Amino acid sequence: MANTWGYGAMTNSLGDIQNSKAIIIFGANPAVNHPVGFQHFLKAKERNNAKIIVVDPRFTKTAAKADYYAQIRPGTDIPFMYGMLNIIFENGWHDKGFINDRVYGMEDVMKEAKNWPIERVADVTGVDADLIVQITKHYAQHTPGTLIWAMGLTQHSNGSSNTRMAPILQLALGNMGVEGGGCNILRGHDNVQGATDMCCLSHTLPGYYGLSDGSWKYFAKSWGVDYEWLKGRFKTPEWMNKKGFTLSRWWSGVLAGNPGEDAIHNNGTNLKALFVMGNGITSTAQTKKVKEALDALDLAVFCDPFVNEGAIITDKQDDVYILPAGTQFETSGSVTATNRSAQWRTEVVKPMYESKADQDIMFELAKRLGFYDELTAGMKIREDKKEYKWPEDATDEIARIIKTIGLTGWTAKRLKEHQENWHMFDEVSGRGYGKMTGEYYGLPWPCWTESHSGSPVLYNINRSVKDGGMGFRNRFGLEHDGQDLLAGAGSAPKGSNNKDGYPEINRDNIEEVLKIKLTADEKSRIGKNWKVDTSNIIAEKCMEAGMAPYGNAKARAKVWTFADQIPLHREPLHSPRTDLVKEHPSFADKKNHYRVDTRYISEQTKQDWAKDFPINLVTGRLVNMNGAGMENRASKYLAKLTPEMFCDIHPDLAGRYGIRDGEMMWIHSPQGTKIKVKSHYSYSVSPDRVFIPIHFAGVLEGESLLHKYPDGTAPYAIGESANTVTNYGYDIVTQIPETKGGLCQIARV
Amino acid sequence: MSNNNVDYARMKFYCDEQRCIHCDGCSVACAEAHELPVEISRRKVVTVNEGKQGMEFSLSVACMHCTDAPCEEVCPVDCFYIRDDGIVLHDKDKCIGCSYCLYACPFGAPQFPSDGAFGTKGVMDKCTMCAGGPEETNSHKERELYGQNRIAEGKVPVCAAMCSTKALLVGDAESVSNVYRERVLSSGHGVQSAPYGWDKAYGK
Amino acid sequence: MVGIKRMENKSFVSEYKVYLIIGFLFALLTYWYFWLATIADISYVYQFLLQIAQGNITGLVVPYESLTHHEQMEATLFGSNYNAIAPEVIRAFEERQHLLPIVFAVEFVLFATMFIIAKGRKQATITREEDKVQVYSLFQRIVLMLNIIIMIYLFITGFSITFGNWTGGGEIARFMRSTHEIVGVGWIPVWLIMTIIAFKDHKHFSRPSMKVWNKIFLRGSYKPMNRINYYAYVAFGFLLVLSGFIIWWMSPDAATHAETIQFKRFILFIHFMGSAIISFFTFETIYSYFVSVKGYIPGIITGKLPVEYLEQLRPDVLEEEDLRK
Repeated sequence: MANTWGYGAMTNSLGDIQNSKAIIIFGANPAVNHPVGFQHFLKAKERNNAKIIVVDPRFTKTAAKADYYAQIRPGTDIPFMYGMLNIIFENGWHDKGFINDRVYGMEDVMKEAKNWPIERVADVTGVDADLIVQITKHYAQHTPGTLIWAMGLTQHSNGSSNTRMAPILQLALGNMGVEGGGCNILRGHDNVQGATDMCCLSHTLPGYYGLSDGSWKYFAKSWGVDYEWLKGRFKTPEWMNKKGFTLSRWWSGVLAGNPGEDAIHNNGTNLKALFVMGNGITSTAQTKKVKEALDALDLAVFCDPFVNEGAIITDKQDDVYILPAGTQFETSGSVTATNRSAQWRTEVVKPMYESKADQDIMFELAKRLGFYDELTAGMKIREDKKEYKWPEDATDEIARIIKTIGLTGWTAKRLKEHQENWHMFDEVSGRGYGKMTGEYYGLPWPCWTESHSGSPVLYNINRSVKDGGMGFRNRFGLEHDGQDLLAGAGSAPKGSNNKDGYPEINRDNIEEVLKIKLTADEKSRIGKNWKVDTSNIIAEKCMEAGMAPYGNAKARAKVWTFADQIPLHREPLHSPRTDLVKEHPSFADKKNHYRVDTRYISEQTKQDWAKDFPINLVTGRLVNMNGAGMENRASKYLAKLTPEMFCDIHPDLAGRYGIRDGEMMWIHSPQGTKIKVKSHYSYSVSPDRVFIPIHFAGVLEGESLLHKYPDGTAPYAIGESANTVTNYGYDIVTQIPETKGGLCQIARV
Repeated sequence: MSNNNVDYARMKFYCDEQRCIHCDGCSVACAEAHELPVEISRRKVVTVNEGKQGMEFSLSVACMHCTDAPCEEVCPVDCFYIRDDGIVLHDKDKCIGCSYCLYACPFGAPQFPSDGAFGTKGVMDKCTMCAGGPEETNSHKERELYGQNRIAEGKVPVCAAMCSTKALLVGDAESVSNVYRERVLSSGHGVQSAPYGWDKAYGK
Repeated sequence: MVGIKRMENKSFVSEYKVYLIIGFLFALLTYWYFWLATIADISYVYQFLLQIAQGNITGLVVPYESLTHHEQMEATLFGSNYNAIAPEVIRAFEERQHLLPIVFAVEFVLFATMFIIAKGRKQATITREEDKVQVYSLFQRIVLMLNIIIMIYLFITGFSITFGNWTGGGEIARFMRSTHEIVGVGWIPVWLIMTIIAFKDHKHFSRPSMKVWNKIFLRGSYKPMNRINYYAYVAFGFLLVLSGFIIWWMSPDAATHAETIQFKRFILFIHFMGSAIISFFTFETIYSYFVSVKGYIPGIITGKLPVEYLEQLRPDVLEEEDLRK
């Protein structure tokens, strides 16, 4: 998404969904994963007569509340959306003005859409042609429409194409930058958006600054740490700019060199140690590989409030450490919600027994490893003080430094004020009143300055920038292939000095673009560009001029740096339609993909997978469980609701294999792994696929690991891990695992 | 049915099947708040016609606190009592655990732990609408036997308080029907300016 | 009731008088209950029984798909057809506290009348106290004693449950109810063995060794009313055993409530019916062996009864080969 228009986050908000006239959901299950937030969907349905359209391989609880339901074959969202676009373009339902002014490259999409007539889409997706027409007609003609997605769309080998296809659909309909529209990606875990914004990822510095020298230097300066010292932390300087391993493939870093394992590019060494902090490592794909890797490590440390089941599946006896971390109730600080807004949390109880809050664990580690001073320097630098105050100084440090997503306004003081006055905001628009007038709840980023209101609806040019409006980000240059990438004339946010498209603001173009004059003092202090402007002058001046510091450009439907410039359909690596694999093969194998040689076409064509593994494997969540489930399965009432790992299977499919309802069954994966689960007859899946929930651990290929838990720490419910049988497959750009579109074979026990 | 007794409310539950998403928040909240044994389900959520398009729906059920409660009728030791506001409660010290109330109940509200020798039933436990029992209000004994007494503190029963989508409503029958009526009548009338009741809470 | 009559020159009616009377009363009772008094839906009960015979105990007698939306909700959440059986069960619970004392009073009057008509108690004149024969083996005595003690306990605790309005509930009443269940389950083997050993009509079949046989099977033969008591014990005891076991074994469970409650209501009703009817025949048995006739109590412990007692009151026992002198 970031490659389409600049930011890769939910563009509107949950409350804003109440403004929608049509809601289409691809691969998301908000009734289960956002039960309270689902109120907004229901209210849209009730009050706004908004129809809910669900496109999902199984009939979820969300689908039960939907008006239209398409039971799509996993991994065929792109053909579905092309089918929709084809109908939209043919009927002229697209927003021509919007496309003209604010989108680049739609012509290529229009051309590709012609390759997807409705019958072909029906064949590939498994959805009835009439239903696709019905859905498209309704969605296109009831605007504003909002498009919701989650893991069902992203966890594929071409997930990064999926997540561009959806924005393209919304752009075609002119549903972007309007209340009730937008691309509303539902983030899952508590503060996962915050973690993403701080880039707990291996390919960028916090705030999406990337790993270029310029970014490193900016951070060194902002943290008050010597740039050369930072550079010296790497084995050789060029490694400073190289992406690291991902969560989904770290184990390759350990196992590389073993027969059959993908090669790695890690400067001639394997990974030796692993420190897991608040991560359900058993919930990453290829559980058996994770186990193998854990066994082969020199050091494994697990830091969690409950025993991380990574410590259970490994056979490693020595040098395995479990550190008790406190929960979110035992610490204070800000958290970021799925709609980019921050909320302040206050400590409810001090960390219990020997538990320590996460930050204290990190500080203690830093002290012993010798970089505590450097780590904490950033919190003291602004006021040049000796002691830092946690968490306020950390929050203010983030606000001071992160300008890319406009966190400047997220001072601890403002966030705490919102916490104290959280009843003074409107449920739908987030607008504050009374004491909170002029602010949106949680100051959704970008919040350009310390007095900015926050931006609840991204890319909305019907509002002034001061009030949260903006155009698309100028992130991809000024022109491409001779076409202007800046927004069309007259399509600037309301009240802007510059009524047309304009580039991102830097030291050199600010006076010209904003039509202002800087003083000499300002000129001496101003930063190189808006992202590294420590003085904040650029942002302040932009606010006065009613302009967004990041420019006003066109969103691009064509990403010329990607393997597929416009999204193209590629079958999942393990597809039940061998005939379509020939027509729509996967990508070429990618070398050095986050340091791991990752297989695509070689895996897909290794054998006719559909022959021995004819059943689609669909994974998903349960409402009473969370992630790897170690916390919930240790809660007796939650465990009682689903005490065992199970598999939803259609009675007809079960009948073919002689599996009774409630009987144990085996699920075999193409990787040669298997799990033993209880069958559960359900009509929510069609007879060509089965569903397994992802939250269980503690049993591995039929063997119980209950004896391996330290005394008194075993959860009430254990079960097989779904990821023991999810297939090998990783997205071409992000390396997210293809857990939503695999194959399996089943057998009765 | 309107309440002819002007002095008291008539407390009722209502579960809106258009909104219930089977999140089980109500059943878990109840179990947590009253620290129930795991085998007891004072409140449970059931999905009907699972997986069938156009037919699937979910409902949360517990004691309905009937006006003509059959449980109260059949109890051989007369351990039930019905409050003026309609909440049906019982006395666990009197109860002999014969489970006749369960047989008579149309909704299966009475629950029995199998904690006696040879698996024989213990005394009956059921939803109290968070109104405790005959013991002294908010005493330790009441808490141990019946769970929280939230009604005495002016709080909403915990199941409805926790309902994710506000499918489960509880309160005076008239208030509940007003909320639901508002919900139905406002259908198609566009985005609300403030959530129901916020004008009373925050003087907006 | 009265002594054995000789079998020759008797009409059908006089020979089978007792059976005809009891049969007629039973038919009357059944007619009154099932056609006049009950508020249960008899046609539903019949269909339910058919379904049970086919393994479907949920209470649904029509296909689930044929139900309306509301009925489906009812059936899945609460159990089906509440109004078919439950009101009758409720009525039974309510009314028995008032009706049973009346019923027992009527039965008492009946027995009192019979006592008067029979002109008092029959007794045996014992002159030779020491001249005894071993009538009951050790095994038989244990079973008989157990049966008596357990049945007394079940009666007392059963009444404690029913007449909770007298006991007022509480710790002791709770203990009586829970032990009623356990002792009732414990009665199952006793009832079974009792059923076998009291089958005196086995004389119609050929049998091997008398000595072993008579250590197991009770001696003597049945007069008509006694035979009826025995068969009532078997039949209604069976219903009580089966229904009681199911009530105990199918513990209340919220998860399976909707699928099982209709069946359990039906079973509980069987249990009540069985207990009410068996109580009459139990009273009759007590009347026959201890009220209308003076029993020889020490005999139940030693197993030995005076020969004169047997000659005068129980000549059928003396007819047994191994006792014939």
